[in-house]
Amino acid sequence: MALLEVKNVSRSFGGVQAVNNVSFEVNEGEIVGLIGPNGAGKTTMMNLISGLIKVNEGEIRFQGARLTGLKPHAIAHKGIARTFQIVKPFQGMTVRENVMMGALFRSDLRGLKGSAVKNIVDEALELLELDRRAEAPVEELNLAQRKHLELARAMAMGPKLLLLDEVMAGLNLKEIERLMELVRKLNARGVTILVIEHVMKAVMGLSKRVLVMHHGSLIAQGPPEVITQDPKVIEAYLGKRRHKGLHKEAR
Amino acid sequence: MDLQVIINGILLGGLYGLAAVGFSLIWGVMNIVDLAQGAYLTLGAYITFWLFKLWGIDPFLTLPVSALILFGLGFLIESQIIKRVLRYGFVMLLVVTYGLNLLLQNAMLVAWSADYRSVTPAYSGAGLNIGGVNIPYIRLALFIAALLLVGLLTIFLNKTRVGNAIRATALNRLAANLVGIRTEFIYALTYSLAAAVVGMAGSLISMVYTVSPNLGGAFMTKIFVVTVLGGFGSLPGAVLGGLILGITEAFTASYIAPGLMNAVSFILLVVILIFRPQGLMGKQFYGA
Repeated sequence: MALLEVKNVSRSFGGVQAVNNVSFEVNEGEIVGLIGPNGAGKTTMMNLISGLIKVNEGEIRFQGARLTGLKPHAIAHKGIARTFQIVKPFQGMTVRENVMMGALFRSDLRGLKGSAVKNIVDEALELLELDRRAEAPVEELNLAQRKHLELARAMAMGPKLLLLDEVMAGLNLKEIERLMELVRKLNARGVTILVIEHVMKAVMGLSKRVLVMHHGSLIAQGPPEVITQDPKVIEAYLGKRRHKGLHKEAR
Repeated sequence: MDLQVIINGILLGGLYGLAAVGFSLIWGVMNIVDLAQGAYLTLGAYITFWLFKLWGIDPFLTLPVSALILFGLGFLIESQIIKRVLRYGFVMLLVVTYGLNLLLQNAMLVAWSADYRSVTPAYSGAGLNIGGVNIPYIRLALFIAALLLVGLLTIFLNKTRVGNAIRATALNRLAANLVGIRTEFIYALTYSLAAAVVGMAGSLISMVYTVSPNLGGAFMTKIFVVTVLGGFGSLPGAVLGGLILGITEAFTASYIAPGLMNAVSFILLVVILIFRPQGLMGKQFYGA
């Protein structure tokens, strides 16, 4: 069943068509990759789904219900969580408090006891391997830990769909591998994931299906091994001649 | 060192702290320098004055009335005016709140004239005398009330769900919005809450100062100094800043010259800005 349906969605900024008539679906339980060169409209697409910017044309549905026109907090209440390319922690709070902010405003927990919130927070901290740093101020975390924190906060929201915007950016190889494992673990817990990623190894390794955007349009979609061979995709990334490089990197 | 001077300063400083809390909160959460706080303070003072004058209601019992009226006014002003101007940025908000301040101040001038008025409950003269140090009951009561209110607000911000939403919104509005907080509503709430608190400060102040439409203007400079001293967005900081300003003023008035009170306060402000621009207890309250 399609958890998220994007139907003929367009959005322009001034004269620039950032997203142009894009349609795709994300099925329950999938990890779907969204790739494309810089400026392809990937982050705009995420912003449209999470309601930070408004859709000009088309509509977005989640679990069969319209998302289009809802405010970001209402979309969050429906079970869509996201992370950012540049991490956005609540600086000045501890790691635990940050994660607690994810759990505290869930619509399904309203009226529940503090202990229920605490359990959720503990679980999310443990899941993202932050339990040992729980009482530390966020400022003390390194980049990889901050990315884990973003994921922990998102998981505390009890999401059905997780939007990951370049979580791997800036991490070293070892950290990438660890985070990939964690993302698979979150997926195994039943969270559907849409991931924007520039690190090819990560996106190709994680996703069963990859969507490719270029100049605001969806130019291809399919399994990673098919996508890397697609001439349109290779051209979008590299121009016509150097297409062997992408293929190698994907492995 | 003269103990009496220190006591006077501390008792006064508590009020300064309370008066600055709303201003500090709005700055910390919404990144707005709210110049209308002075007018809200004056309005709170007038509410107490009229309730006392017309119906003889005890000034301390007028606090909830001030809080309610100013909460409502704050909500109206935020949702109808401030909200629409937010996206034009810091400077435009400065202009708008300055304008609001003038508007409210002049409305009070027209309605109630420039006459100096005072609230004089029966107990206003009495006091405590311990070892030659004189502590007026009313000043002591005001000090305790101010600390209580700041304490309650601190607990509210740190322990309740709504308080947490306000703190999260202050630290990172976008992230707060995406964890499911209605940040637009939190802005309105924060503004109203701040207006209510400064209104209550006005009510308390009316018991020891004469009330006129200019009351808030005189306090606005003190609110500035206190907030910078203590650090934006820190409630304990506001109290500490208030105490320091109160003691500084008391010493200046006793040992240098009463006329130099503001001058010395502002010298203190400049010194703090040079050596500790984040204030004494300032934290990074609003995110990048």
